[in-house]
Amino acid sequence: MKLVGAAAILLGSLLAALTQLNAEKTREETRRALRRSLILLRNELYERQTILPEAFPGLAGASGCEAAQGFYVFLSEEMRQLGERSFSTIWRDCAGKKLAMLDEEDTEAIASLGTTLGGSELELQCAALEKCADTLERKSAQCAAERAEKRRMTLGVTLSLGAFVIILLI
Amino acid sequence: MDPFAAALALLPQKYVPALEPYARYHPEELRLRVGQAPALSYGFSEHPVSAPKLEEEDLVRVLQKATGASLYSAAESMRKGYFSTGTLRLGVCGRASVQEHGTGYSRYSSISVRLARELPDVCKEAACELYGDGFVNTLILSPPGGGKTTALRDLIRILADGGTRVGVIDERGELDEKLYDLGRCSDVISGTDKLSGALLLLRSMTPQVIAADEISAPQDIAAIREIYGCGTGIVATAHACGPEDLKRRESYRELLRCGVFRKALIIRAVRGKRRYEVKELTG
Repeated sequence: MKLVGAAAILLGSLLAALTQLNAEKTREETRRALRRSLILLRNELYERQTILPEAFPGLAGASGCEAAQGFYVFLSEEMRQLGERSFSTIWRDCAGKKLAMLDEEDTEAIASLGTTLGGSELELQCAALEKCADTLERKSAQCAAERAEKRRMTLGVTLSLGAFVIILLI
Repeated sequence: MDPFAAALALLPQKYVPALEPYARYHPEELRLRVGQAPALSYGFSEHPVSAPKLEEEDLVRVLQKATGASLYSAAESMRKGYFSTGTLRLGVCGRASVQEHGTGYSRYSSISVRLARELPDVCKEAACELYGDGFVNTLILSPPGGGKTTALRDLIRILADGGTRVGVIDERGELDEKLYDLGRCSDVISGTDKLSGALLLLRSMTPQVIAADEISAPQDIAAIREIYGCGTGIVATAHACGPEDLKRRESYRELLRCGVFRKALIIRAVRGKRRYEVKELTG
């Protein structure tokens, strides 16, 4: 019985570790998808001056990631409230609701784009989109460097904890 | 969509109930000014409505609504002080910075929403008087907001339905054949300045008459000079109370001296109604 309990605890710890790693993987996928979409949006604005309501459905389709797709789809729906609410408020609310899996720094970088997007100066908006895409890319690179170490540490801690519990029970 | 309904759709909901009852007056303009309630123009005067006072944020939201939160798409037009969306033309006022490529705005203080209307046959009698003996180059005159563009649309339709091939230069989006009946023989070129539009029409569409709205800038006068003498008639509009007003401006004096335009259709406000008067133009 003690062995079964110890095995259950060990398994639980492993699962928790894997869940955390999976969450990090989802965050990274979302970050990459958002970065791609911001570059696409920047090109749409610069090359064709596409208006935002026409750009969002295309970005949803091209994102290749559930969370990013969900963000742009929700944004398209919420744009119906434009006029009653300002665009920056709509954008920020959508980012807060649909990109909650990202960490605070990434969410704020995306959310603050809403104060620049939609203005009259195209170059300013393109620069803001490029800057946000760079921020996400830097974060991805930072996380990639930390990931291997984190994985080793997480698994190590989990296995040590499990072994400790087994010893205690036995 | 009806222009008045389209204008109300731009506003935050809190202003709409106070404005809706005024639809029966067929307003021609909605005026939004920071610190004041919205006002409507009809019967040649402005009427404020009983509604909350506007804030700058309201004006920003109107512009965002009108452009789909994409002011950059209208930036080129806005640098000239206005932009068009379908049946509405929005004029913008505020803290402007005049640059080489045009005017930009850092603050907004007022917006004028012109409601374009189609008034079929409003120029029917005038057209008989103008073209009874054959087409002559025509200038439609009135002060700003006097109904020149509405009259131009009707003249284009009358000429085109009568079999005259009319080439229309729609520089400002107010002569859109998808929104207005411009007759069966009209061809519209849009998204280009008057000079380029005129040359394109002359080369490709063999127009018998070219129609253009608001001849004011030097490049517009250059376009008229280009068309004149090509064997193509011209009908255009200009801001002026009458021929005497035109003669005060050098560019128009030259056109009158050369006899480019032979007749004027003058639109005046008389006791709250528009009156259309045809006059001969002399140098």
